[in-house]
Amino acid sequence: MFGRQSGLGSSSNSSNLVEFRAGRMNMVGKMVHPDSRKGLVYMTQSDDGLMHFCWKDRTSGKVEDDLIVFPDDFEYKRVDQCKTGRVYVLKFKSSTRRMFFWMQEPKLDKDDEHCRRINELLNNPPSAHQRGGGGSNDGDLQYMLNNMSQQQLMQLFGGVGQMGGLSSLLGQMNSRTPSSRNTSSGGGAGSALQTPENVSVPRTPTAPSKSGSSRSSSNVNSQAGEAAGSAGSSVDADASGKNSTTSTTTASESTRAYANPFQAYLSNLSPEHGAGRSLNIDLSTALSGAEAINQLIADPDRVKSLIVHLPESEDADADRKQQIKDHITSPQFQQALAQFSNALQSAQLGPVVKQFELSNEAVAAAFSGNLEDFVRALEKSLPAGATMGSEPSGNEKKGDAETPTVVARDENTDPAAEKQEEKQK
Amino acid sequence: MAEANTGAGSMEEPESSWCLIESDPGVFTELIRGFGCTGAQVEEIWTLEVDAFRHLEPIHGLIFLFKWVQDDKPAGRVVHDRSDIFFARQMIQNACATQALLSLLLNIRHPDIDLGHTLNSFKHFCQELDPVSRGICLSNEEKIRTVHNSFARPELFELDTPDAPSEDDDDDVYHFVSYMPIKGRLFELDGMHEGPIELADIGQDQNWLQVVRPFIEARMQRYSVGEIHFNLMALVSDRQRYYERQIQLLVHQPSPLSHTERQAEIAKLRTFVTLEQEKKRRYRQENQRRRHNYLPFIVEVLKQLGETGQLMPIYEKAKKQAKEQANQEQACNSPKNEANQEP
Repeated sequence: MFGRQSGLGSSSNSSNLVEFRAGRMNMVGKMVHPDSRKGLVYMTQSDDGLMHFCWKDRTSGKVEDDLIVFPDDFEYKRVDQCKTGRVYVLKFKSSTRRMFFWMQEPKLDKDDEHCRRINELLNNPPSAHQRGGGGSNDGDLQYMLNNMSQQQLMQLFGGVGQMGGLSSLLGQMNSRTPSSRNTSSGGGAGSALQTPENVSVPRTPTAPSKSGSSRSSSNVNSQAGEAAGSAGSSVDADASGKNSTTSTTTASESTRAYANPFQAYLSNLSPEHGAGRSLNIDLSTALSGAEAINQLIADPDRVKSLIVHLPESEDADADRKQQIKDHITSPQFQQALAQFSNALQSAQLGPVVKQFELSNEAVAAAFSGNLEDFVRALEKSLPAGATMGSEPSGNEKKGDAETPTVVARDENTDPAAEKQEEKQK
Repeated sequence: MAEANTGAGSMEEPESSWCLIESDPGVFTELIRGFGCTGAQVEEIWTLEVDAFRHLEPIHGLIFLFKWVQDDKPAGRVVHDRSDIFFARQMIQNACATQALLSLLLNIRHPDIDLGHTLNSFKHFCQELDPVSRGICLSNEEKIRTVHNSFARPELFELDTPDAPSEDDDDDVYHFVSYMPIKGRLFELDGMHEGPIELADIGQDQNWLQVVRPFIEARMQRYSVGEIHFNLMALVSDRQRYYERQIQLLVHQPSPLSHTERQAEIAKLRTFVTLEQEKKRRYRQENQRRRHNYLPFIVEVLKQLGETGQLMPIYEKAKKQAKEQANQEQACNSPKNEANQEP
């Protein structure tokens, strides 16, 4: 039944066509909303044949995302540039909206397979479409429209600033329809629905039939009612190209390249002052001098472990301590540190940080974009019994942890964290 | 801005694009070397008092960096008929610095400076072309572009760059303009205009710097109103070579100076040579740092600071600074902020 009363997507696992453990990060406009919860990405097909792409919180069991996906509306792919992590993105082809997911499966051998499967299902759903074109659609359509939640209707009809679904389909059918892109949020949804009588399950488009009059109504539900009444006809053949109508891509083709693609990303991401993120904390403002480093480089072991990450000096006899100091005070390092701070707070560094041997807490903090938590995590993960060179400061948590606190030790265990424990002797 | 990337290799292919690079004398000097050109270097100058940089002469040209303003009308006559002047239209924003540098180098005829193979070939190749075509050729010139891009910062993180439009695109657009004397006339070479701009005549006994001074000052005046940042760089002959030559002359040639005076002079010149060597070493170091990926080092430093309990205080300090800055900015922007602010 299409309209599961409790809302779509709350299917039992057995009917999931694909599922895998993954966390979520949402990108809406320019803001990234990170999410470190344990989650599950899955896809199901409801009885009416519609495909659902869902994400649910494994801890609470709540389904947080339930998108109805139509063929060619979405693409699911690995974020290639993020070579250090298993991050995937669900790209909405007709808008700039994206949803990011990060794999939580302990083994990565099935990652590719999952990805392929998702794309398959997104674009070639199994043929549950016993109803093709023709009048028999009515009842189903009516049922469908009457039993969807408001949110689901919005999704279908292109509301909430989201393109896709029937609205783009409908936009295609009536060429005089203004671009569905023009409908932004909420109430605008109705105006996108021009020719409801042509609505049908958009499987393989069958023979086109001319649409009737176009109607616009601001009330989605009543429109649905009207739709149900008309003789259903199958989707116009043009529907197959439905995504091509509308769009102006909002992406300005940046004609400039940045030395550092990350800089480009940052410049797009940085919010206006005061907007979005509350405060952009730049660690480099507090680490511009080398005083803090003095303590570190007093320890020859620390010097060794730091110097390996620096380029070789021209001068073979260069004083290594001085070298480290010189790098720290250099504008190039300062800028890199500022970038790092910014990036971390933008919740984009989770996968990157993960590749270093830091505690799970630190990694989680990176995923959620919380610099303070990150700092705290680094202060916690102190080697057991190691001598502390510093005088106690108010924020010390030194005494507390013998071993690093880990967030989750089950399927989310990062092998690196285990290594870290061994390392810290 | 002429953002036409026709023939520049689509911007979608990162390999064929030009990176944003910094503009400081070290970068410019190393760029010159990277192009295979010898005998020249770039020095920053902070004043237009001619006497202040007499020691740098001969100054072959000046590069003036400023924030680009939309309606910049030419200060003089735009010439279209000088085939003896090498001029190329700027086709790519990021290639700006290199373009300004080349507009000088490719017009210089001075015994001190040897363009080298790459630049000579390029110059020869484009000799007969119009400015737009030359601009396109430059954007496609792989050797030059590779050197240019070698001064870009490394990718610290590899991330999916979303297609979201960049809001600040028009905010921080800096531009370079070159000034140089060519055959007794002062020219302004700006790839954003259609041709070289003839500014003034240079008298036989005049130092061209005195002629250019008012033009640059006028520009500075204009931009200082809006507090626009600018700086000035001079293309000069290789200093070290110059000083070494002077030393040779003093050592081997008869001189009106007394023995003591001569020794003193040689000692002074030797110091200058050492300073130049130091400078070169510093430039190399800076470039090494520019190219270095600091990410592992950063993580290690933060980790160790955490281990020694120093990281939280640093964080707190940075947080305090950020708050102060935010408050300051709010104070400046308050009318604007009312619209932007979120509760």
